[in-house]
Amino acid sequence: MKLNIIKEIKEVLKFKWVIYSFVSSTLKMRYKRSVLGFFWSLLGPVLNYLMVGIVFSFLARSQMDKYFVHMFAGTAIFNFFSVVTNGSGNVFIGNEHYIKKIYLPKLTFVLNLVLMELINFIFGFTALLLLGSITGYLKLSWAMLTLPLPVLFMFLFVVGLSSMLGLATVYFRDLLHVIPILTQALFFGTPILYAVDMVPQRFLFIYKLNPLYYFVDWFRTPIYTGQLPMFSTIVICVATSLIIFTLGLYLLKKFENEIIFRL
Amino acid sequence: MIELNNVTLKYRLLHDRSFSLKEKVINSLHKRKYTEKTSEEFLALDQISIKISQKERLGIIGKNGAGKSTLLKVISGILKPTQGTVTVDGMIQPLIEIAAGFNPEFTGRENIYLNGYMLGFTPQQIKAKEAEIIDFCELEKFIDVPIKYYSSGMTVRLAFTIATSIEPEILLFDEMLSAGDASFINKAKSRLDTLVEKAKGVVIVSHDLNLIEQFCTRCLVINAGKIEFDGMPIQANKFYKDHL
Repeated sequence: MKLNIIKEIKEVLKFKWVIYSFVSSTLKMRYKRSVLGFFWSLLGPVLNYLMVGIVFSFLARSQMDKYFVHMFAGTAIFNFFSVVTNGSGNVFIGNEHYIKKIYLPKLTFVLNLVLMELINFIFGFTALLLLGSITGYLKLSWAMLTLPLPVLFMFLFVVGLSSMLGLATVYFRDLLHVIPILTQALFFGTPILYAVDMVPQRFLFIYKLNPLYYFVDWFRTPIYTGQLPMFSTIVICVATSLIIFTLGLYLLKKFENEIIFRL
Repeated sequence: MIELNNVTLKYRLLHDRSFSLKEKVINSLHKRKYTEKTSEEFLALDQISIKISQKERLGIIGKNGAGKSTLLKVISGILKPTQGTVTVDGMIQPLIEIAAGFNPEFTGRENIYLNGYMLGFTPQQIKAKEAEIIDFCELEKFIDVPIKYYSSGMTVRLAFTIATSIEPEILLFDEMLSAGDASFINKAKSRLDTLVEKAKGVVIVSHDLNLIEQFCTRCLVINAGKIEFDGMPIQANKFYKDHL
């Protein structure tokens, strides 16, 4: 079987308005009946970061403001990864009533999820970034202008990964329960709440097998130090995301016609 | 125009759909062979070849499980055939069931757009029809309410109106007129008539033999995934009553 990525993307673009409609209506729905509405996407994380920051800066005995920035930048990008991954088990199973009744490219369902969380992430993150710089916790820097790049490659990475996890969950429903545990383990296995230098040297090679290690580093470094990360970090992220994206699309193409019989 | 060439659809029918990874691992650890079959091959469509020309209105009848709806799903692209080819000439994708693609959490208006987009329309095209749709289904008051709060009759009215007002070029109906009150059914029937006149191809699946005779110019009798009869609706109905 041959995969023509351009063709796959064109096919899904025919349904761009479907995706638009799903994403905008779902986002509206998410905060509809709450008093504070969309403000929650800001307030929720702020309270969360405060809590974690207070507890861990105490435990880690590090400087509070420095620690906050380190933790906040890492958690923000990791959260985008983990909400998408945790939702990916449901991308096909949860859309059974569409899949059985109307033709839509299967990638549409993946994009619905990823784009919705991407928008949530961008809004929430930008708001916190502004809040941080107003309160003086964060120093804005030119390097931050490159932040869309790690986000773009993270996007490709999670599109590929969610396609695979969504497919796999159709066959093994147990994954619905396994995926959140794995992302949680990955969170603690990535230097987010603690610094890389706190990791014992002999364990470092395990850390370096984790793709999130690099994505977090790429995203965090401009915020934390105002510099760009090492070139090797960028290369690894770009390569990983392109491989996973292509593999995800390939597997989706290969199995998409079988999904309907397994729902 | 719709053309099906030697279309065969096979799939594995799982007897117990909720088998888990755990069971799989345990079974393989015990080197246990499945004594009972957990799945079997099911031949839903068996080498179907038909050509439906532009002005034809095709009815499909047959017993439950004969493959009627499966055939419709193959034409609409929901199912891909295991073998053979399906060619459907028409820009807009067909709707096999009204209310297919409705999201109960979305409002009536949001569903009008969502449904229109799914069928391949642009925002401008739907905007142009929005007022007419709301007017015809008589749901002005409820249009900004999530449709999970609609009665089933209201949902059907909205779904039917959307399905018929966006005028898809190819019409595929699976037991279309099943709900709604009497006055709406009358209104709906006349609307369906005009729609059928304009369409480039119509395929109707129904158990209602009268409806088939009234609407169709040609009729297939399907049994066990095969075409048993292909001809005039009156003769097809007779064949169906006599043989099946």
